Amino acid sequence: MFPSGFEAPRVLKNIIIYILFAFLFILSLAKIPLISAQTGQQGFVLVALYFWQVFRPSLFPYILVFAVGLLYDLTAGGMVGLNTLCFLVMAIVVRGQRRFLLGQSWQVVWAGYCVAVIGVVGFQGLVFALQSWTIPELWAVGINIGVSCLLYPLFLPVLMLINRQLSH
Amino acid sequence: MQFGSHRGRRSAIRAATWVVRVGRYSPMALSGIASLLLISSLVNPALWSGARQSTSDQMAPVLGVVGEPFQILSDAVGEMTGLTQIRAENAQLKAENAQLKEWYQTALLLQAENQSLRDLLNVIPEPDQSYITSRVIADSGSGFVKTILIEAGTINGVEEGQAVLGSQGMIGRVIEPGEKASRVLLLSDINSHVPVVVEGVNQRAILAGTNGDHLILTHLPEDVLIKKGARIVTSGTGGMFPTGLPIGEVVDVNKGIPIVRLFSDPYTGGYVQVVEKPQNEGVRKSINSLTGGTM
Repeated sequence: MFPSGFEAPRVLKNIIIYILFAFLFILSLAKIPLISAQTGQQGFVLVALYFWQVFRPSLFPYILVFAVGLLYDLTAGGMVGLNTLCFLVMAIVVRGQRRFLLGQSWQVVWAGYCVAVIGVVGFQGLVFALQSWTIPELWAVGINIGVSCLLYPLFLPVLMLINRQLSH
Repeated sequence: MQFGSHRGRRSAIRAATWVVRVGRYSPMALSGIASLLLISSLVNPALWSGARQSTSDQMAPVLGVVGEPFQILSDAVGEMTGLTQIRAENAQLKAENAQLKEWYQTALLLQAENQSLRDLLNVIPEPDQSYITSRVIADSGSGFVKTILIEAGTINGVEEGQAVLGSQGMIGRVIEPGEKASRVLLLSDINSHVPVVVEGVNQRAILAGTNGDHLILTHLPEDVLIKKGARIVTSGTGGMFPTGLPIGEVVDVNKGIPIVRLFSDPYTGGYVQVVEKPQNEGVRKSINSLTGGTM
């Protein structure tokens, strides 16, 4: 019934990764209390994207990152292509630094994530400024970046646990 | 015939293989495609509105289901922690109630006077408003765009351009009505411009979003003196929104520009009301003649 070399547990573990990713993707768009798009809600999907680009890039090929970004853009109702480009560039840069990041402590990997968030939010702010000829409020951008960064350690234990399970 | 279908299948497989190869080996190509999408969206923002609407329609049930437990939890926590505040609130409400009873008597007198004056002048009455109440299911997904997604669409009677109210006043307007879900552009978005009237001085102006918490009044004559606390309501100019919907109040005047704070915070309420357009055919005809039939 299954092709040769089929490992049911591994497939199931991979599915868990995708389910968790889908959940975080929805969480970054859904209306939830305490956190909004203005206060770093996009961080949910960025955490998942960044983590799996560092630890399991084969599970998230560029074409999938592109599709995720496009779906995000179409659901969010903003400029189509903006998040697609941000997610792709983030994936390309993170994969480029992957060897360095893999040997580091979680704090260093977190710092790398913070840099990625600054890049994504900064680029979005730049596009917004060019489109509307208005400088975004810096404190709002700061809160957005700050909250997005703080989401990483919140989800890290779950993500690490799944990653460890995959290694066995 | 079969040969043709074989060839078609083969070329489809070849195309799919090419896409996979591009995806695997050429992230730069995908980035290029994303850049093209972004440029097209910047040049013509309405280009992707159809795709956005249908995606929102498909995603709406999932977003609603994921968001609901959080809302229930938030309400429950709010109720528990709010018990200590109830006593203080109760005393405040009692005082307010006594004051409102006095106002109620005044309002009844004014209503009777207003009605008799209307009868004397033979004024055509404003059509009654009806509302569609809907849950907010999603945010904009970006800190630089101020929109929300509501769980009501064209099948519920939502149309483009309808005003959307929060608990205490207008918060935005419908820009992309889907079948089951609709996107609302908030008044605070930089692209939002709404014709309003400043109560007290009875001056028409345009309320413009700034992407911040406060909005500004533009297109005001220089000699108009607007004071803090002046109420801002919709003017109804252009027939887009009904007249007199409460929006906010002037909280400051900075270098001659009045700063407005909304009565309703668009992010705190879980539900909104969409103001239905007048169903009276005569009124609709008048609006269509004003707007060129776009509403």
